[in-house]
Amino acid sequence: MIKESTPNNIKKTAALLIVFMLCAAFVFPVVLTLFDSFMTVNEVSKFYFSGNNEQIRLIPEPLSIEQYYILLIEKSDYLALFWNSVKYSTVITFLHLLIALPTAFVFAKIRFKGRDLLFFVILVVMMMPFQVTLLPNFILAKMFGILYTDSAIILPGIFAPFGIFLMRQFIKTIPNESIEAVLLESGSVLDVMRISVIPNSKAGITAVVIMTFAETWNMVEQPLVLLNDQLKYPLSVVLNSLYGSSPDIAFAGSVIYIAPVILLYFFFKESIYDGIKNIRYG
Amino acid sequence: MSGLLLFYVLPFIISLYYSLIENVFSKKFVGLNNYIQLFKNEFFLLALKNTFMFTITSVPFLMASSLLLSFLFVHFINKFELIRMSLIFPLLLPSASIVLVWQILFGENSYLVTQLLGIKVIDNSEFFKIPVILFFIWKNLGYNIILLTAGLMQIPQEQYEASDLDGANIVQKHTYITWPQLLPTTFFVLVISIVNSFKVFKETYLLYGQYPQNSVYFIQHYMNNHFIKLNYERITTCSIIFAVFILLIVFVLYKAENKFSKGVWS
Repeated sequence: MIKESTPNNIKKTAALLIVFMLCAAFVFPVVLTLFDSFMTVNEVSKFYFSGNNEQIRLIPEPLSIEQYYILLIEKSDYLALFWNSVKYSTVITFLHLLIALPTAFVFAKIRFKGRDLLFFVILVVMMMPFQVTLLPNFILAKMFGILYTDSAIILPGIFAPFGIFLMRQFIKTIPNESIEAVLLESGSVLDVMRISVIPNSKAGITAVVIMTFAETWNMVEQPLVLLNDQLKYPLSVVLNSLYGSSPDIAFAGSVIYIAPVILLYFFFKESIYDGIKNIRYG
Repeated sequence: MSGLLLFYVLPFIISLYYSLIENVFSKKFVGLNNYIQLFKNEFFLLALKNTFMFTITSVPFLMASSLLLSFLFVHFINKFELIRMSLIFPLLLPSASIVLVWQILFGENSYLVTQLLGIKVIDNSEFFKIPVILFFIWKNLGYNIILLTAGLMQIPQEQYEASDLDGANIVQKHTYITWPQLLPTTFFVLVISIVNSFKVFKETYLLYGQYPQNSVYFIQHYMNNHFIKLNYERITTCSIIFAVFILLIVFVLYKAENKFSKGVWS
């Protein structure tokens, strides 16, 4: 008995060790950024961006909020860019959900001619990288005369395929009886959504909201092509030039930029996990 | 749906037309000339080569490590619940924030690169690829593991118990139970990984800017430069080649998945 369990224990410990190292690697960049954001500007300049042998330094001495002070109070442009990001991400996320929910419902629960073909189109568009999808967005924005305005970024984001696809995976699992019962009683499609669909796909809605938000919060390709005014850019595009021009406050800039996403992560990590799993297993 | 057609599908069809004419002003039909011209352009060829090389070097790495770690997770870790939440972390974190740490870790002047590895980046432009590959793996590993472990957990436990009774060893269990049933998921993850490898422009841009070193000059860099010049023939042609290529990959893998799944279920 003992003979058998010993090598198994060693294997288990080794496996655990590997897994914890992996987790550490995933979390490390955020921890380093957070800790170093409390360094003074001088300390950052001394250890990083000095031009030779830059080494990681985790613990700031002394602790200071100097970086945050400079970033938020002395320099106002950071906040303006942060605001751009907030605007794009929240508007896109909210309207994308509003469009994706009924569309997904139709694809999941209503039979009509050409449904499978249309859904295949959604899948294909979703698979396409920006090298393919940006050009259509660009052409249409130019035709509508909205190129280089906020709408050029927001509209393609709203009509993106991702939310439709993921919501459909969730709505498919709602039993038909639940929908039919509401339909018989009130006959209104709006009631079906309100009473049956939305309460039964809360996890899906959360997953779509968070993943769309994280995606748009992180967008780089679209603003580069669809906007031409630096002042309209979201933080995701310009943050790296902040690192270049004033590296001594980069850590604080990065922390404030990650904060919304981290908050969402801590509140909704279960839904996000389910959402990712449902990409394949509806 | 109509929005999707309007913003994505319809303009794509228009761009098909653009790719066959001389330019938007003359509207002269030139057949495949734009495609031929594109393949003669040295910057396009460089970008194509880099993009292709990036995919075929980083995707196998990513796949191998995702598969290995997924097996490890499922077979050895009882407390999977505890750590699985850290898997989503890299997926959600915006790239621009991670780039800062990457610059410190793998920048030209970092201790790791200059002292530990002893690399002089100036003499070694190929080195610029390494941080991008690492970033790609770092970002996608957790996502792949979630999908693969979900696939592994769908395999009925009874099959393993039955094979235990028949005295099957771990290799046999893998070949006859695990692998055939995981294959469809593996194909799916492979497709996603390939598609994601084309998205690595974002990180490259954040690390090296609009005009990077030759070794990390990708298709999207090439296209962005032509977007700025409004050079429609070039971008449309590029875009269509890419679309056809992706369709082809998805189609081949879809067929392969069907073929192998049937092998399991029939």
